[in-house]
Amino acid sequence: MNRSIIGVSADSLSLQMARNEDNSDSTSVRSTQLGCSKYFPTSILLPRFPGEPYRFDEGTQPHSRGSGLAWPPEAIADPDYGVGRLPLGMVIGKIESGQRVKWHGEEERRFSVSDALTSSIAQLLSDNLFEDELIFVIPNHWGETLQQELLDSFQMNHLRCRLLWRPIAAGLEWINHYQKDVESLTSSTDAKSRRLLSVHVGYDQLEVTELELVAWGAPKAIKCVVPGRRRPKNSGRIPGFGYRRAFQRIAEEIRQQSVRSLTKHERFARIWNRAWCSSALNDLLEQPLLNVSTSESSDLELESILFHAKQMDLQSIPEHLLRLQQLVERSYTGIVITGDLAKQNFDDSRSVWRWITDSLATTSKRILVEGIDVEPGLLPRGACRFADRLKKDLPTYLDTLPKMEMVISERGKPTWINLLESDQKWVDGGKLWERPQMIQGLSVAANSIDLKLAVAHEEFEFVREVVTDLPNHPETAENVALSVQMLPAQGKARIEIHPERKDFFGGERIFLDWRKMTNFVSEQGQTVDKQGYLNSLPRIFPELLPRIASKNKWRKAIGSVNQLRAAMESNAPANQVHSNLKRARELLREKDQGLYPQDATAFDSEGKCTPAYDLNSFMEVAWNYFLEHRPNAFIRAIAYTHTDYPDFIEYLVQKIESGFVTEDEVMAAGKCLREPEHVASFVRLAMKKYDASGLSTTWWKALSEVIRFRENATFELSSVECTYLVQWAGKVFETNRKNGYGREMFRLVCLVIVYLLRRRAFDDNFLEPESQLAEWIKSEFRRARRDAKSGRLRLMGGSVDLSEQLQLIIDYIDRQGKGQLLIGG
Amino acid sequence: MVVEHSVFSYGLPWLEPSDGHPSAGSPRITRGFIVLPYTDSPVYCDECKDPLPEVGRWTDSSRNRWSRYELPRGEDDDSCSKVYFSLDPDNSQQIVTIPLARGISRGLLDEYLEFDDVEGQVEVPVSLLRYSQMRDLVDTHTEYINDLCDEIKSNRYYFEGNFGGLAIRSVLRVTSRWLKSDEQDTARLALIVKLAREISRVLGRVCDQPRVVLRRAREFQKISKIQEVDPACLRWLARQPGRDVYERAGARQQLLGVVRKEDTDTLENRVVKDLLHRARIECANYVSIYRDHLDHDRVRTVVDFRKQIAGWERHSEVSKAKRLVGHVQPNYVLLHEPKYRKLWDAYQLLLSQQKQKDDIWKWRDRTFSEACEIGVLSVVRRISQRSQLGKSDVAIEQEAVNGQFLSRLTEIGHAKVSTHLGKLNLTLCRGNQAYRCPYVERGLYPLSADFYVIAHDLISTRRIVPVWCLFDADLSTLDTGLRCLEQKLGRISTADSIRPLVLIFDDSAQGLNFYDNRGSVVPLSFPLLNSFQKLEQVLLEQMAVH
Repeated sequence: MNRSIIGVSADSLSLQMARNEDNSDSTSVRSTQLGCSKYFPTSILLPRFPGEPYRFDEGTQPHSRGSGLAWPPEAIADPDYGVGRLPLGMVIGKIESGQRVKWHGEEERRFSVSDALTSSIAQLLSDNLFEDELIFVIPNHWGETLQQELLDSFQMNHLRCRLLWRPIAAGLEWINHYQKDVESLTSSTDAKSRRLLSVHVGYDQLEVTELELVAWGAPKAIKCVVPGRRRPKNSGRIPGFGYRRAFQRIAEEIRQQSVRSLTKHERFARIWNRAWCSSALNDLLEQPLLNVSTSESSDLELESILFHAKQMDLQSIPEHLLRLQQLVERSYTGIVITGDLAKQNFDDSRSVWRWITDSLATTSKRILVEGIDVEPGLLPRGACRFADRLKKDLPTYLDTLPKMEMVISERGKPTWINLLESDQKWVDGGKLWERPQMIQGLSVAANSIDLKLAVAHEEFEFVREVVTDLPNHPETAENVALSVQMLPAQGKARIEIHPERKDFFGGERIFLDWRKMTNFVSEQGQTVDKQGYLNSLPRIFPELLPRIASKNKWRKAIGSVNQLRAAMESNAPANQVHSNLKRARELLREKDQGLYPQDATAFDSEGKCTPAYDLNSFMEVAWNYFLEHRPNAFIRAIAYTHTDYPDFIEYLVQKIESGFVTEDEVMAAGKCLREPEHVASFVRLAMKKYDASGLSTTWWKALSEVIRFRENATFELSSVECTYLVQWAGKVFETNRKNGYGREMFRLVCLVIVYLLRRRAFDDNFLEPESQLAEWIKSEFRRARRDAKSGRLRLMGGSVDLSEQLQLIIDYIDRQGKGQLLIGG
Repeated sequence: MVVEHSVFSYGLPWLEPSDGHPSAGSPRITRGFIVLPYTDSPVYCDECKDPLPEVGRWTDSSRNRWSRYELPRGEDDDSCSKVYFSLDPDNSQQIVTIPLARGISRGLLDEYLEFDDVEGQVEVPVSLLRYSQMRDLVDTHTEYINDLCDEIKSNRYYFEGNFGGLAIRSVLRVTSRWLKSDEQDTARLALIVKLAREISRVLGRVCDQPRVVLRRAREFQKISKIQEVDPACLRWLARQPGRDVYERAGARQQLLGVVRKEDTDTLENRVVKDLLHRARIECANYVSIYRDHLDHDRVRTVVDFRKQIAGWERHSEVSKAKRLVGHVQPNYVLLHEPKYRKLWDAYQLLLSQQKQKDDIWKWRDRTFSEACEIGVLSVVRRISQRSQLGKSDVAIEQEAVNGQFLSRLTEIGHAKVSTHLGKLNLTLCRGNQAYRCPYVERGLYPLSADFYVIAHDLISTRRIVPVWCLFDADLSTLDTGLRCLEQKLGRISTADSIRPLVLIFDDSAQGLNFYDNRGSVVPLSFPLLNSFQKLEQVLLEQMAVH
């Protein structure tokens, strides 16, 4: 079958198309335009009769529908009741805003703009609906939702369509135009010089995009230069000035013609008629733009309804372009300028494109301007080039995929992982990208009727939830994996659910249903960001509770630390060093109450502070002094830095292995030990001590710190050891509760119990919620809550509601914990 | 609300409740209307299934709101109809009996005119002869609309399509076709032409050898010939005097016995008989319309077909079948026997077309008005420059609603013309849309013109031509009616800009002026296109077009 490829661009006042017949040479792309630029801008007529299709209105005279006249009724244009005409010039803007168009004809109806556009194209191509393939040019910033909406509309109208980025279409046409120059670029090694600037100057907006020119091709194949597109930046887009110029001119013209003052509705109808049903907008292109200062548009509201585009005065544009200067290079391999106003001149005969490049302070030897260097219709022609290359299996363009993450459980801990490719990596435009590995480790709960996945997408501020109906409802939990595929710029990624049992879906292929994607709403009824979502997930153990660095406290302590260093360096008298040590210890220990309930001191639990300080260099001096003089307060003071200085750690480990440790060393071990085997040794020593004589507050504090600061603290411990520790901590808890003591010891054992749950990361069966020990611990916590409520137990917690925190610990034991614990401070 | 004081029926469109006019409620009704206080509920009458068409809506000086509904024509001189409406909020239905404008049933008219055409045997009353032209006009208009609906010629600039029971055609196409209706292919490819071509052979074979059934009948037979008796025969025999069969056979020696006879009186043959009858009437209609084009291939085909039918009706056994009564439920033969199936399909098409014609005939005044509206639209399009008018969508119903095919959804954009008053827009506004049109003076609403042609600029109305169409005008009362109209027009504030136009279907009538020579009565005749030349002239003068 001889299939026609049609490039289509709706970025103008009229629909621009280019056709590339199957067997023809790629250079013979022919572009046409729907509607004539001499007459009125092309519009889509909204249906009025039952079953009437959308259709384009073009020709010498507009259809009466939505023409803004007073008669017939279908002609009426009213800001409140809507208009039966959708000008092509505002279609892209309307699709972007996601608005449906309202028109109160016989009855109030609302129309989808994408459907209107695609149905009209289908109506136009109705003779060859099944033979033609469209390449539709879209703005560079369109997200997947907009792409998918448009693609769905095309599909609904039985049109085969691919989308192509606007700067890429322009880039491909530029490459075709400067074919010979581009070939020499292939051999060039200076990657920096191979950049192309695409500038779109439409009535509605001005878009500046930097593309990379990359020599690309399969291994052993001939490489050719293709444009590469990075993730779009919002700063590259600024409002246009074309509609405002038209609005000011038409409004003035109508004001002069009117013998009486017009009402808002009459004014709207008149301007609408002139703008969209006469040649006024096209006439504007025929005349030079007046580069003179004009007053700010007096009726911005009316202008915005009439054109549905944010506009600026011409004089404000350079200011914005100046800001863009920082983002663009001074020199480019090429510049391609597209859009209705690209060929326009000012009254001082300076061209608009020259004005823009001058304002951007950029230049190139190879500048291609639509309407001057080549015929209008550059974008659809570029779209045809894309299709042609694709058909010949040549590289088309390079793209970067959007950032899309989902939550998986990694060793019991929910984590966001990227579903697609990193934004630094090129993927082939127009070709299917497939995730190298499937996402494993997911499961569908027993009796589930659907699968819910949370997705964080760069397009959306908040986490979204996709619900996919399952054909079968598993009786037991069913393991599933996900495979991810994506066609760049062709809507949503295709995520398929693969059950472990191949026949589980009865041979059906199940894909994530993006149409059922909604904002995730937490139990508090709020939309949440990525962290908020993690907090809202039920967990089997709490997040680490590290100590954070306080800038204020470090600012206060740094003087003393420097003094101490100086004293040690200069081998100052022992009493002076001792005094400095004590002073430094006190300052390093101080908690920043301003950051409460977070636990904040001068150094964080990783040994870092703000601003950064070279702790290792300090430790080299201090450790040598310590080895020589062994000052008493040294260990304790250094402990507060949470240092990982190897000699210090080795010292602590040796002491632990010897079984004889001072309280200071215990405290230092709690703060500074990191390696799982060191932590395990320390915990085992604590257990021995407990067996012998019980543990002091310092020991419990050190234990709680080591397991709440360090990710893999329980890795080397066995579940049995952890169980013992939980049991002993439980007993201490019980004793404190019964005695009505809700102070430090009480809090410390709470922390030990709850952070030992992190053992579940390595042993999922640790402390099963229904086990005897778990039930006993939970009952103790419940009693503690009751006691605290009745006043028998006095909890020390400051502004933190410790009673709630106790409930949170119960939830964690039950594998239902949500949110961060706040009892570490 | 007291019904008696709020229901008025009139014979001219512009008469109001406050007028006392001879045509009101009399048998000389020119065109029947009923005026009711405005109501949202539909108004029905016995004569038609659709609600009565609302042709005008206005508010009088006492701030009473009124609606005018048009009534169908009756089938004789004294026809009346019950009208059902509801004025109260509680929706209780009220009924009044209203006299209808005089008329004749379409079936009867066809019968009369058919004999006149073919045989010339029956003397047709002179009063019926006028109906011949009316029937031709109505049928021609129907054919014209059907032709428009049959073909879709859509392109990028002028959209056309069929959907939701409507055929959307551009004004350009509608008017071009109307203006060229006498140029090419004069005799239209009507249904009867298609039937004449497609079923005449099958019909001939069926009429020559109709399907028969062997029917049992009891007849007196010689004793030796009797082959079958049934209980009834035996009971009869038992009642006869005599000792044996021979004595009971009596002097003639005949007994009652069962015989089997071939019989053509079957449902399928009754259908064929009715098909012959209806097709013959349809042929007569067609030939009547194109009696000036008898040498045209299509007309000749239909004439021949009609002769064949007449022959079959005289000689075929099918004519012995009884008449069809009531609704026909097709039997197995009609649905599955190839020859009869074809005839059954043709019969249904014919039946449907004739039903449509019968329905339209009751509303022929409105059909005439629609034909005139399309004619005026064509004239406006011809005299104007390229403008929105040509692109406007004409929505055509698949079946006429109250005599009109153009849907109420039809809205027509303006044309641009150069006039003595400068460059103006010409707008055609349909009568039932007048109350929404900003260019129609409120004072004109109660006069219920069929449509308006308005010359205006962006700000004001410069000329307005309200057009009334009278298909079967009673010339004796028209003059009084016109005086009444003049008085009403004179009371309107913008009276100077009004150029009333009355179109009457009567080729014997003379054109006349009224309303200080600003208004015109233009007689029209069949075919309309010919008489529209003089109308165009009048219209140009009234609109001050160059």
